[in-house]
Amino acid sequence: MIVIPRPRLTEYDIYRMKFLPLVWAALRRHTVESLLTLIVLTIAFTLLSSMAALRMAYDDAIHANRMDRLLVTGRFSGGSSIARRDEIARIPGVRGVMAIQWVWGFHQAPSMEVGVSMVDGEGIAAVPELPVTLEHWKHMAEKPTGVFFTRSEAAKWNVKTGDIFPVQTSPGTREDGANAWPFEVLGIVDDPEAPVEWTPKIFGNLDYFDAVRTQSERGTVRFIVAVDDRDNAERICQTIDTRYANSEAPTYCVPLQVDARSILDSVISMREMSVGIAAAGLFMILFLCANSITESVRERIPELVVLKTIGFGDRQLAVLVFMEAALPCVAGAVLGTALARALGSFTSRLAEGSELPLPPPSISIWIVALALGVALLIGGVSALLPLRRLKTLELAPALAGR
Amino acid sequence: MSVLRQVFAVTAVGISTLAQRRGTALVIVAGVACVVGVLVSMLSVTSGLTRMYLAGSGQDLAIVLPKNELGEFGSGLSVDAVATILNAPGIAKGPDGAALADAEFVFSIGSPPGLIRDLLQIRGVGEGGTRLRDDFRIESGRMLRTGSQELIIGVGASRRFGLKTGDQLLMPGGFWPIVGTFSNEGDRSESEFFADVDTLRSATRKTGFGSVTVKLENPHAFDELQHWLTTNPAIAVDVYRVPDYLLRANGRQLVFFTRASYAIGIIMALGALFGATKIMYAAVRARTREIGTFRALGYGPGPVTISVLLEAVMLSLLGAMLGILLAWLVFNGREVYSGSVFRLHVSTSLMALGLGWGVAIALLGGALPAIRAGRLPTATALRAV
Repeated sequence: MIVIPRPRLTEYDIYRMKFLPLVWAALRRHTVESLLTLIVLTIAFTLLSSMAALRMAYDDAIHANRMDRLLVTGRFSGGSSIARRDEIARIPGVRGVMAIQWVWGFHQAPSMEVGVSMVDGEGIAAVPELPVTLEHWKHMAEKPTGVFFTRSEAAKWNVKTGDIFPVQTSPGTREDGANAWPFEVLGIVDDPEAPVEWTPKIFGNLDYFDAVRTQSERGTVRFIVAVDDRDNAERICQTIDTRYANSEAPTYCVPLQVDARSILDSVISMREMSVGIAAAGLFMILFLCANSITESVRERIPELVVLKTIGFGDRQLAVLVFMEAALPCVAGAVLGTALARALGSFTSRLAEGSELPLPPPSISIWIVALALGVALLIGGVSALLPLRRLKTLELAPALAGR
Repeated sequence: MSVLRQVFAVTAVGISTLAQRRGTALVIVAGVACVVGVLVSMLSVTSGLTRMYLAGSGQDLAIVLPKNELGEFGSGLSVDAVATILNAPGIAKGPDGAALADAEFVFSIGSPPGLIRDLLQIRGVGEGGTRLRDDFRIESGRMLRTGSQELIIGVGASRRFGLKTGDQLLMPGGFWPIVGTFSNEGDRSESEFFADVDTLRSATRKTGFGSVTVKLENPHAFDELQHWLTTNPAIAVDVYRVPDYLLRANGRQLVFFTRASYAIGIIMALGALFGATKIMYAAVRARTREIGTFRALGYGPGPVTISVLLEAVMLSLLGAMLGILLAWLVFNGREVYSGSVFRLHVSTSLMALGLGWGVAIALLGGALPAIRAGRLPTATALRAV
């Protein structure tokens, strides 16, 4: 007697042999419509991923501006007396103070606006995240008109070491009556790791600037104050403002992170809109998915009833319907995030309306996980209604086609 | 039977069966509602900003700025230059014969501790300042007194910063009291403080003015005024119509938002369009036997095609109206801040635009299914279950 061995099937084998062909057959029933659904899902997930990347770029830009760095300016005008540097440095909790002043003007044509950060050698060590160091500053001290460009800024202006980079400022900026600042490029430094809102990416020598600018403006600077503990930032700001509140030139102190947030809040940006846009896109596909799976189940009632008759349990049918609903969503999520990654420059352009420099939006692993999670959620929600219908289905009338 | 009557009959039957296909119908309605809702909501920002910039600044106002200055924050116009400007031709005169003009100076200060972190704009205005602003009205308290260190606050700034009549603000020279609040038909000045221009210049030690705003004798007088001022060797100034100046100064934001709105709108519309195509294919499939019956009765393929398109357009228009209604309910009139306080505005032109997008999505999305419906072979269609 020949004994035909029965293969031992694992749960995985059952799913592979029974479920996947069934799901595939269901999706291929109306190939064009399934493809159209996939396109819509891909578009919606592209939008979701792009908006999530944009939102994260805004948040990164805020957090790149440190809470333990304070910007001290004049409450009524551009700056504060440099004589206050040592007084501020003595406040408990202050690690160091760097004086800084910006020169704003244009290079070649008025439309080519440019800014140069004039930094102070004494305090430069207090702000180690700056791309220029004390060594660079010493170089600038030897060559007072010298400036350092960050790599991206050098590429933007197409300059190299040794070039002269003239900047035209408003009349009355220089004591000698000239309008041009003939800066010389001493070198190119690395870009800061994170975008820094408060300073242009060209660095010069504050001492030189102060000696050349209008007599009445000399000695007026801003301060970047490094504090020991970010939790004390607001308190130290209050201390500084209170100390000079009754002086002729009261100060206006703000932690850089708070300043970055208020800059973002000062104009409407895509940051506020990104959540609404992504939600609208998802709402759009939720209806489409729910309708597709409901229609599919309704058309295949006879097939599903047969499966139920031959022993498929409610749980197995639920898995079948869920997979049919979730698979296009997951495929759409994968394609959508890939497309969003390819469209990175488009997303970057949506961030141009911000007053704050943003890092390039990127599709992180978190965004992929978010898209996949949302895809499964939409698949699950879409499958709820047809599953409820299947559960209450009576076998005999359904088999009879009623 | 005329083609029109055939179209009407096929469409009427299609609509009567919509209740049975409400799930599919809802997909088109919801999809288009999302697209149009997002588009109209985003564009309500640009519409609101434009309305704010242009409020109270008709074609009969012009602004004179120091040459190459991009804004009013400087003080490059000397008292002599202002006197020259006021003698220019084309400026309207008041009943007293004086030029209807105002030399102004704008100064900004950091917000006091405890308030939103931002800069407060203090505009120094003269007596002509209120005469130029036709809609200017004191809402509470009183008007400024010439020569006094005091402020009035725009209603927008008052709401944003939580400051009101009776409060004081640390200014150069000490605390200045806020003696009143004012409105000006929702224009950007409602986000500012007003002070007496000479008192403000004195306190901030500025000798010049940032701008001179003038009322033109008539809108056509602008060219004469501009030519006279820009060719006058005694002064170096630029002259703009006020609406042009405001749109130029703030154009970047407007252009960005308009482009972003359309870019997002187009992406979402593509989604809705493919969704509508899918749904209309399903609708044609569900109506196959019905369409076969019509064809057997002698109805032509044209009326069938048109009726399918009409159904898509009707559902899409319903969705567009829903999207516009939601955008209007949620955003219209909502006060937001973007450089100045302004209200989002869902204008009638935006509503029309939303409806247009709805129709376009329906026509493009419904075209292929409609053509397929028209080409269905009668016998095959009749056999469909």
